[in-house]
Amino acid sequence: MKEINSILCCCMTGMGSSFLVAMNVKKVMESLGMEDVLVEHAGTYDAVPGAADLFVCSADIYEECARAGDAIPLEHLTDYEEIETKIKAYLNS
Amino acid sequence: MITEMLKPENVRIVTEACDWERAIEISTQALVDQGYITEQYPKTIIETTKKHGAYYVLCPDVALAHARPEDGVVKKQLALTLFRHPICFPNKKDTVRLIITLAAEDSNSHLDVLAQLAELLNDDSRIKLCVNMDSTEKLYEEFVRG
Repeated sequence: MKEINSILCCCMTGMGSSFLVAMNVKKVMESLGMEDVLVEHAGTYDAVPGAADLFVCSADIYEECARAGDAIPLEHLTDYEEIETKIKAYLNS
Repeated sequence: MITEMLKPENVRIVTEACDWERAIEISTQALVDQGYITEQYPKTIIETTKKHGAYYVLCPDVALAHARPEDGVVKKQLALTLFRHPICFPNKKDTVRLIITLAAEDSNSHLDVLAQLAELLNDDSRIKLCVNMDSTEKLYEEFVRG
């Protein structure tokens, strides 16, 4: 399994959706026993190389985030199962 | 608390069919009228949507329409608009019937309310219940339940 220390959840403005995503990402990390991973939220302007080990973002801004590092695009920002499935797949890839 | 950011009179049900731009105007109108946001706020949401897509569509049926504090927020507030006719947004497969309008005055002070909303937004059965509500009073009650 991949080792990561930080996840940055991104949306266009960093005000709303990214926070909702971060809440679910935290729950997923807890369920995996990885609650030490730092989970934060921000806007696309903060998605820069080195800002986090992994970016989780809405599909609209995937290109920006993928330029900054490993990124997971989400179709539905509040879908816990989608987030869980994609993070597990990433960690095991 | 959601009740501190959402007034019963700012929960509305819209029966007219409209496109997404009109839907953004309608769902921000009450907050413009009451001075929580300026007219720039809906304009920015519409302009940003045209450039980058509808970044605030959260899941089937629900959007969290918002821009940034500097785009015209005077004071933090929420509005809730239920559209009887589903709205199509650019490049989105899912249509939207419930638009939550968020005006946040800074990066943090609305997060406890969003955390409360997340409980509802993560529950498909409650979303289904909300989009089929027949009165604004019931819709308000369901939302402030947290």
